[in-house]
Amino acid sequence: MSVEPEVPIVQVEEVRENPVLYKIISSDNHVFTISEHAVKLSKTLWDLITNLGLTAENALDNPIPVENVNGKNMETIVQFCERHKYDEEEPEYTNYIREFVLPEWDRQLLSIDNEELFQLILATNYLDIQKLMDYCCRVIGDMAKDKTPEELRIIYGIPTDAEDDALERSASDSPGPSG
Amino acid sequence: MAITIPVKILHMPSIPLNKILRQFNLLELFEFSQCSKKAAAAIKLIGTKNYKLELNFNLSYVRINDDFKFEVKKLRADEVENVTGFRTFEKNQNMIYMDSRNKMTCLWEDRFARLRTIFSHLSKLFGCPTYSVRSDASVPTHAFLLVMHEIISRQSEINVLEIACQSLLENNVKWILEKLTVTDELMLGEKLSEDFGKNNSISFVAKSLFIFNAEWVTPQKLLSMRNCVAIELDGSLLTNQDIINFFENWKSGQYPNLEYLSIKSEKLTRDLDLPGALRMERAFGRGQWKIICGKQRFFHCDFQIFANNGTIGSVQFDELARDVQFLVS
Repeated sequence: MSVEPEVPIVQVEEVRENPVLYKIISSDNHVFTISEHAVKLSKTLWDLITNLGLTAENALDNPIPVENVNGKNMETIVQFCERHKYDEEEPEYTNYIREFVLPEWDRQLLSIDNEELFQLILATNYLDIQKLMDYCCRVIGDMAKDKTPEELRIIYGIPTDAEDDALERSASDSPGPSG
Repeated sequence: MAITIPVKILHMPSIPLNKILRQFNLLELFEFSQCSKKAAAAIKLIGTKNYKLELNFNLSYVRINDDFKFEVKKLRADEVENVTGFRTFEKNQNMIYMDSRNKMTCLWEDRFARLRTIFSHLSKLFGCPTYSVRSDASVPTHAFLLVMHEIISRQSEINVLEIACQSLLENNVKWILEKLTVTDELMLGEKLSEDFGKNNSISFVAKSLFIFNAEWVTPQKLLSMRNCVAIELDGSLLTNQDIINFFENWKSGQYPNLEYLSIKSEKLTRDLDLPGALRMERAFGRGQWKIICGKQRFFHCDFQIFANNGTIGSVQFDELARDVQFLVS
């Protein structure tokens, strides 16, 4: 499927200020433009750019395919990275338990349905974006507040021991590839 | 009604799963662990082996990280109306209610047995060593020994240990002290034979040592406590001469960490005389306070005594109580 490039999320002022841009193609062929400062938030993408030897001159001519991330998630990721590209580097969290305040802008960005959130975490994990990962995990962690085990089982889709046992039994009973 | 799609966190890679679990407070972690065996196994991912686990038989609770308590109360009719649910500890369903955000109360007929069950469940769940066990003479021997067996099977050091229950054999005490090194605070409440001090090679390295029924503590045993910061011996049989010898040893630097000593002995007599000590006039209401190993001590100085290195110690001698106390300045 060929899709026209998405409208770049970066603002004109930011482009002027930081003219190096990279193109990323999602698994469903959406094309995104992202600034150098923003793309550096993804360790995976930045390593790739460095290894491919992309520069200001050839970056836009060499789009980077990211096969594990769809357009919807990539859009959220690009928005996030552009928003936080000039943030000061934060120390690694030590204690974690709701150690940081989740900014309202990010809470809004991550107000998506659970399936999308799940996929976004997988994408964030793949692209190795520390801050977005922390924020996503915080949103998911907050779902546990004041919940009983029965409620947690529903929220986090945790099978009971009996269901786990039944799944294991059916997996071991099912014939293998040879038949 | 809209059906919410679950976020299947147990299907996530370990990095995000770890980060999500780290957002949980202790109650949420515990509640999560109650969902299934797989959920319980997952929580070890976040390094719960460094948690601080404390069992207090006296006050009937198990505490984690100074933060969250599981308290056991005897099941009574008037408590049942508070019950909000059941939780499983080692396959036993237990009525519970939340007393506060930091305390879950569990109701059970046999308080001590249940406390042991909860302790055992939590120590396996978090996989962490036990930091302290506090006990007293009302605790059934069986419950206390089961806890000791469990701890000794997993660790060789404990920070705080109170050895006390309804009745312990001398061999049990010996076994515990040989298997577990107590580093911060040891309280030994059992009555032991005078031979106990002679028939073992247990060394006492706890910073704070409190021994009731200390008949078995010989002068040699006292010397083996030379690295302690605070020593309290109640009901010992040490004599005036033993006390004099102790001070000679202290003066020569044999108790380098000692800050406080208290010896109660029926063998002490009013003519206790400490060679080289300076007798002081006791002024009413002019004692001194000092906190040593977390305990506040109030003290009058009857004698001043000087170590060879210039350290000054104050001695208080209560003739009626046959009690010598010693505070290092």
